[in-house]
Amino acid sequence: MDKSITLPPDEIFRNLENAKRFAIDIGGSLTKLAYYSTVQHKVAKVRSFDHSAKVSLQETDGDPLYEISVQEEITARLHFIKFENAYIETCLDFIKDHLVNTETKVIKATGGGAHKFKDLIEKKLKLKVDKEDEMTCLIKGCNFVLKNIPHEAFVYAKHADSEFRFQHTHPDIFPYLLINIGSGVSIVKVEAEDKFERIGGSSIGGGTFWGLGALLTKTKRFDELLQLASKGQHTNVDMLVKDIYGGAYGSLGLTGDLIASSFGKSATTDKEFSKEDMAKSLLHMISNDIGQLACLYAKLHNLTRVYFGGFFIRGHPVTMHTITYSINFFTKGEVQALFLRHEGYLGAIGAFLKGAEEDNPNQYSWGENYAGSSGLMSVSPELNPIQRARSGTFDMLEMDRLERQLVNLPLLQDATSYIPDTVDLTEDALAREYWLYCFEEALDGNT
Amino acid sequence: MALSGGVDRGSHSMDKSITLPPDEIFRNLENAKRFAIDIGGSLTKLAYYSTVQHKVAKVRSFDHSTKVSVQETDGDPLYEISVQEEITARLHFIKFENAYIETCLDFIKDHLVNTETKVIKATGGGAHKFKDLIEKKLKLKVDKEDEMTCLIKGCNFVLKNIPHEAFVYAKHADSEFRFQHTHPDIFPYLLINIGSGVSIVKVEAEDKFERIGGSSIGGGTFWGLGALLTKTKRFDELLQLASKGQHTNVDMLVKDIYGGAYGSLGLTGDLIASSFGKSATTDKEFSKEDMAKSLLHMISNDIGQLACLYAKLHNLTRVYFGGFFIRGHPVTMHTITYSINFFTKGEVQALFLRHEGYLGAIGAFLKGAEEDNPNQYSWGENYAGSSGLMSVSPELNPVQRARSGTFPFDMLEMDRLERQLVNLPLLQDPTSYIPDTVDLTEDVLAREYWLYCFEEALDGVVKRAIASQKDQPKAVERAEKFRQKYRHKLQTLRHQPFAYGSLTVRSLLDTREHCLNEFNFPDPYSKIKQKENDMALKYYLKVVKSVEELSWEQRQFTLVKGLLAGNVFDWGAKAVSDVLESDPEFGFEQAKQQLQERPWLVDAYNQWIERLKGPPHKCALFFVDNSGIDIILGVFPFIRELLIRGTEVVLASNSGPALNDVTNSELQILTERIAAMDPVIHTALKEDRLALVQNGSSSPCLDLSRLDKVLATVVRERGTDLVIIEGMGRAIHTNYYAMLSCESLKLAVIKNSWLAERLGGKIFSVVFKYEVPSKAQG
Repeated sequence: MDKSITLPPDEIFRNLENAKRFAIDIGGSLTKLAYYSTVQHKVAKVRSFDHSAKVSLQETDGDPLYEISVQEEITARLHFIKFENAYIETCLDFIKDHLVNTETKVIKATGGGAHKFKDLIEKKLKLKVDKEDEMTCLIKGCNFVLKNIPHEAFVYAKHADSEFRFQHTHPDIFPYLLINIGSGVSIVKVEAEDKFERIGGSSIGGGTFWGLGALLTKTKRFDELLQLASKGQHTNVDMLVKDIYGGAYGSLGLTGDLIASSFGKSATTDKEFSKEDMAKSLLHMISNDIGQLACLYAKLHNLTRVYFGGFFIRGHPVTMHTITYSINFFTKGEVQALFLRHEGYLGAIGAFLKGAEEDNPNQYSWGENYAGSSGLMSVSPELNPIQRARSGTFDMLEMDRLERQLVNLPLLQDATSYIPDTVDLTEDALAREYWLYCFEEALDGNT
Repeated sequence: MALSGGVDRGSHSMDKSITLPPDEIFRNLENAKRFAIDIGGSLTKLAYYSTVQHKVAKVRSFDHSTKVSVQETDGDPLYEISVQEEITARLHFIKFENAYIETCLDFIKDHLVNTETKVIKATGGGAHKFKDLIEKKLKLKVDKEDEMTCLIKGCNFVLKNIPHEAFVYAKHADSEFRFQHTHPDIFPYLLINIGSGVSIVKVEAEDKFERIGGSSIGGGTFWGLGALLTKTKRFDELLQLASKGQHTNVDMLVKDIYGGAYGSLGLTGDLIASSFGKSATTDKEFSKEDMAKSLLHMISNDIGQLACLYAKLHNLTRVYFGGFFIRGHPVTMHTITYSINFFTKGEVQALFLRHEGYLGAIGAFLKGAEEDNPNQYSWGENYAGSSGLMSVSPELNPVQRARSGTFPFDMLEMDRLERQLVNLPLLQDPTSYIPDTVDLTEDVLAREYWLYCFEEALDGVVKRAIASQKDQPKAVERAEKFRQKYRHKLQTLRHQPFAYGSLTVRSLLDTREHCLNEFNFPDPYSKIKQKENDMALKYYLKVVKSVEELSWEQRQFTLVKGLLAGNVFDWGAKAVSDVLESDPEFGFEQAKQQLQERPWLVDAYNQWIERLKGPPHKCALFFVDNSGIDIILGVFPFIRELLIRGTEVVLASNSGPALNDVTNSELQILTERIAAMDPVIHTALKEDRLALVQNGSSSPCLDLSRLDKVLATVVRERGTDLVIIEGMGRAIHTNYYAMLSCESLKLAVIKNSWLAERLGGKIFSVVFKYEVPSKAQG
């Protein structure tokens, strides 16, 4: 891949001049950079005229009630940028060139790649790399998005009208289970802002899909393996219940189509198996296994909210589907697999928050800035890397600090089930078309 | 009778036109009544129920009614011994590779004479594949049974009936196999069956089980992925590859990611973070061995974690593993054990079963035999007819095995015991009771000594066996076969001390009895016992009279000494049988002189005397030992004193013969004769204050967890408050450390210099152990 790309920097590393604090999360393939900056905005301010000398309403006739003035205001904003590790050097160079006003001396770093790129970062940015615990950052970040971003979590349903069904934020986000599927799997129980425990894990994770997949199919890229899997037929490789018993095993409640043994057919058959079929079988094997473990840990700890993250999941409809399927199967619908829109940023957000503790970011409310954020699946995993390089591989999230803390109206009958919006346009396709058309039509208008 | 048959499907390189040594494998086929078959992916397990005709020595009292006094019977033997035929029931299980199935069916067809059965119960994945072949060959209707039901039924059966069925595997321990003592209540438990996939089954009662979970990552996954990765198609070879590999070359460890441990999460550096994680990003070639090892770890760890989660969720601590992934493979037993230890931090132990491969066949058989209600009987493993654990070494591949001439046939035989066996109600804690004093699987020195000892004694046993059947046909030939069989067993046990569970002096003795029975030497000592009994009876009144003349204190000591001196007469101990053979005049008085002077090696005599000065016991249960002088001149005078004190006495003797131990039927006759001479015994018998019960065993040792149900009832009804156990076999080799809930007396003379030395004494040292349970003291 050509790394000497020209970045369209105003669009990506925005407000870099005023950046104050940095954090970086370097994973196996993606880098997530976080910084805190200030934004100078024009705001329209209104100011009442001095009417104190006048007595009655009538007398103000003709004078405007208040005056409007446009002023400069400085607000705080969090920037998060995600890009492939291949671009890290280019990006660091760019940041170095544009970093003017910062007084910071350190950059918080987390992720498995943090120590690998430590020297490069320190050399380029002249900032001391300060490593933060990966899991702590992940949980901190997760708590942050769950609290501050409505519709952060969603349920994935491949064949539904709307693939993504967003969950309404529960006022109390704890306790929950986070299943982080990176190279391996970590199962973490989160009980409070700073109270979490890794209650389990498994070595059968994304690295296993990737590693075994590479050995079986000679395909070295994770995305390509997923693409292969999405085209395969696992029943050619797996031994199903009906392959053994000729049908369902009724007395044990096992349907005929259930996988009895992953790769069971390759044990005794001499034929060649297609790459697609093997990749699919592998994907099912791993997803089902993780699903079962997740559901057992959820039951053991009496938890119903289970979030999935990690590069195995990150924006891949294929894995979100198999994990969802598996969770439904094992919990008979009692537990839903939940995914996070900003899952890829959790570590970077957490590392940033660790560095900004003196500013106490948790005392503010934050709002997602739709203008500056790329949105879910903006970088489609279905596109292959070359196509993506052309279309730009940078994903962004911006969050504005709100000056006032936001809470529920205490008079809501049931805060947990309260939904502000009357119509959900993701689900109502007709309404969606109408309103999108309507807003587009209205765009030209100047009133 | 040789059998040769060609079965060649051409798919395997193995030579299938083998010659079966049929008398050794499909034994007792002529009388086979019921059949069941379990056909797995590679092994067939055949089960049948048959009857065995055995010679047994029966004793019968002569009619002495016309004679009045003892003196008049002089010269006549006390009772007559006749050898009779007895028919007992036996279960046969044979395991062989599917490749031999046709050969075996042909053989069975040719030898099935007396059967009236019309069906054969079948289970296992291969049952429908071979259905037509079986029906055609055997002319029996194949009746399919549910696989899981059979598996569980079989599992319950072995757990209930075979002591030391379950074991813990520890690769690096002195003894790889640590056998578990049977818990009186086997339920509830978890069975993790690792076949192609994994089934996790919770078993709560005989007929109550539920598949609570499962996984598609099982033996088939190891085999299938292994075959794809290494181009090795055989399961055994894959395991061999794995045992030579280094998983760290393929797996990504915690330290590969974090440079060391991930302390804050409690993850050590060597923990596998991602199975096959290194092959994701490295371009190098990986060795077959390393990949196989990584795969093995991946699957074992996954199953281990699932097992432990389900165990926790359902609050179960007994977790048994089975299925072809486990079956006799030390490699997988090790990885599964490791995984369970890791995930439960030692709270749950991975348990394996000696007869795991037979569970389906046993269950299918039991389904077919429900009208006979096999569960109402107790069953015992027949050591003579069973191959033992790992008899067919899994390390050898089939080609090697075929070449080395080792038959890939494994057998299990179980005898139906005529009486139901239960725990002695007086055991302080039945769950922790261990009959055997020394576990020879763990104690290497003791093992070597005893194996040597039993081998040395073999010539004598053979001689005595022949002598006991001078007039019987082919006695010499049969005795020679016995010698070969038992010697072979001893050799097997030298290499595989774990073959029949924990190796103990008891199991060595029992194996010898089983082998003797196998060749129709049911009671080689019958005539010797008869002679000794006759002789001893003549002295009974004299001994009783001489004791009566003594002061109370002197009398008690003389009675105890008599008991101990009587116990010197024991053909089971080599040192003693040497003396007896060379000097038959070795008498009771001489024996007393041989005894160690007080203080004895273990000496609680003073406490015992103090106790006797107190109120009499309500009822004493006496486990008796030898015939002749021991029972007549040692035990009877002793219990006579107890009876006079007002204590009821229950004499428990062997149901069947073992060495020179007095059997229940012999004791019946002896007691009648003594009652005829001695009014004290006569009255006690008449008033039912003296009772004779059988212990349910035919062993020179004593397992208090497998006793005749009637004995248990008698003990309970009579409010037994004293248990007396006599002799080396019952009080030293077994039960030396047994804790009882009432007072107990364990006494024996150590007639083996090695054992005496081990206990810190010399030959003919005396053990007199009197124990009072702590709660009674407090």
